[in-house]
Amino acid sequence: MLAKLKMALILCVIGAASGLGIVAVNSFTEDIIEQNRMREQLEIYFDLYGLDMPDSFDRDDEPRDIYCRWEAVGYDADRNRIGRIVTYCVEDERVSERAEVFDKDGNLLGKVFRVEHTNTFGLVVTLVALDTNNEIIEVRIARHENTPTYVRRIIDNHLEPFKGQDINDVSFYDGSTGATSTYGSIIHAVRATADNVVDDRALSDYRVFYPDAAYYERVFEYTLGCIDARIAVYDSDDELLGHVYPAWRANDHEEIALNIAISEGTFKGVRAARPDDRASEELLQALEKYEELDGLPIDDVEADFDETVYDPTINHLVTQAIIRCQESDEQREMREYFLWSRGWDDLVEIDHEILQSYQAHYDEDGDLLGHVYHGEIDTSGLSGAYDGGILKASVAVFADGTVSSVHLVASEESDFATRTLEDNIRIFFERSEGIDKDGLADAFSGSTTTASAFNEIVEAALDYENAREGD
Amino acid sequence: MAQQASAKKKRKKDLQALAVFTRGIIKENSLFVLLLGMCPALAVTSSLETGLGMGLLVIFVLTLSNIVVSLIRKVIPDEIRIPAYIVVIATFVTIVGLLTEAFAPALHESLGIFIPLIVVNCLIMERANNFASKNNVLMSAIDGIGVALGFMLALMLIGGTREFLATGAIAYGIYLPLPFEGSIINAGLTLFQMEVFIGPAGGFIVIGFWLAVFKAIELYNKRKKKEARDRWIEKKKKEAAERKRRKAMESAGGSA
Repeated sequence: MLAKLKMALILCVIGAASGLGIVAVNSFTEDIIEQNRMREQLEIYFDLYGLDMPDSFDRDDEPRDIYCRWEAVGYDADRNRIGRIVTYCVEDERVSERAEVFDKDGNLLGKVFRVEHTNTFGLVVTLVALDTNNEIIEVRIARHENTPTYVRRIIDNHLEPFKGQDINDVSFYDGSTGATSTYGSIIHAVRATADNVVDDRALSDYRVFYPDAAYYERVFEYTLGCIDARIAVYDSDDELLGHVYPAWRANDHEEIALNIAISEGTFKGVRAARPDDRASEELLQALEKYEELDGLPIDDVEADFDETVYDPTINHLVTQAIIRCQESDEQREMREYFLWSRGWDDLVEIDHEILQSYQAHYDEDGDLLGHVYHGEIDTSGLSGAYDGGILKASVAVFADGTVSSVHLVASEESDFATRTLEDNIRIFFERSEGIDKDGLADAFSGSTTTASAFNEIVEAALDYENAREGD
Repeated sequence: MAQQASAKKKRKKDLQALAVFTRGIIKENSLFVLLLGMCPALAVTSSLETGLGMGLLVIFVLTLSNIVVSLIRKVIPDEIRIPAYIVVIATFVTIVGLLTEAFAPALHESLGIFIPLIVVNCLIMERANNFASKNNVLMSAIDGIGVALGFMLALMLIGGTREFLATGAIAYGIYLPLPFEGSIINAGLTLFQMEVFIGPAGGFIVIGFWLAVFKAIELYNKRKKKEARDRWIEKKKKEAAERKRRKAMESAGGSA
């Protein structure tokens, strides 16, 4: 017993001594490690924007908002301010950090996106520096675990061409770089940055309506009509500020892309999406007239259209957004079948080889729009290549026998086949509505079992609707 | 007389220390002869500098853990020998990790998970258990330095070979906090740009190659020794035969 106690005591002493040693070294190195990280980052970011190297720096850990991580001010030897960087967390897991770099006078010079990507040979940390016009100032490898000589090859030959390119339209080197994995990480970084710039820009657009906007979420994607999505905008406390409806339509002169904001029955405004590079002068002038509607109850907004002369296309888009903001979840779902659906009957079950049920839809005057058919088909054994499975689809058919929309409800086919079919459906319905049977045959004809099965459901729905017409 | 004996004893100790130090470098090289520490040898030797960096860290950990194990060897009961040694080694590995991150951040980034994994490097445990726990502090420290130096040189040899074959160059100043950076050799020939040597397969090939070289040297030395010994035996046999013959002649002359 005594021997065991002795052993335990010895282990405890060794453990305690070990812990003390580690604590001592940690307290000695902690600040140095933090300073190293900070200095390295500051020097790289300053260098990217041609600022002098800081002699010293102050770090401010008090975040301006929860998305800001820290900010630091760099000074020269005489303690004159050289520049400042403010770093933010990014929702996108591909981007580890976004930093804004300011000069000594506080002018924003641009943004740096830090992307960490692990390829076959290890980690590559890439910095993509943009100016205020979203043109690439430089793409730089900040740290890597790849073979130094390969990385040197990329640095010497393949990073320079990025300079000056618009981040939303970057052309990559289409050939052998001699360091495919490293260049792959660079491509990954540039693409991730481009995606984040779009998100960032969208958030900037939404902050016009909601200055406290911290992030947004696309809560519903509309398939049919001129409104693209219903976007919920939140502040940093996760409080819902309101919704934005991005809308798109071509008028006689141009393609109009708008953001229409509505919050709790109040019209927050209508503005051009990406006003810097997508909106014409005419559109911006036309939209100025609508600013007097900001803050009105949505019922008054529509009433105002009758009294004042506004652009009819913008009027239409605003009206559509107001209609959508008043819809219930069920109404929103039903609109996916027929754009003008305002009423519907209960599901009627039918005895059919492929179709299980249908549902009649009506417009606001109570006139029949058409029927939605729900069908399923078992693709097992139809192809030697795949095991197959159940494929479920809904087909909305106008009363005149043309298709309003088709929806893939469920698929037990391979992911690839399912994704391909979904892409085909999306692309096809972006182009047109009211397609007849021949048009559909062109759209979804294909050799894959999935596409064939899907076609069978659509054709069964069309046949059923046509037979009903005959009756 | 006493002074002579003391000097002789000191000289013997010095020679013993030198033998302990050099033994681990070539004769009992941990990697190429004892095949210990193969995991880091494959994982972190994609370049000469990372091999050197890992070697330096192992020198630090192995030397200090040997010293501490030797110091506490008499108070550690046999039953808890291994866990006690592991705690000691893990402490130094943690410390070396923190120091590397503070003073050589690029190397820390590059070696990554393999720094904490030094704790399970069987080479360190083997030296703690088989040498430091049975010898005094000085000899344990010398043994630690020698063995770790041999390990480091082996890592550098593998790393340098792999880097050169894969890239045609050997870069420096990338990972270690050196005041300069560049390339020692830059062959610039596509012949040397065989990417396979950077990957794990290349690691196995290069280690296999150097193992073969070391084995060949060992066999050559053994053969040479055997030949020398055979020659010596032959010589001794001849001398004995000569002595016998001479003795026989002498005895024959005497009787005549």
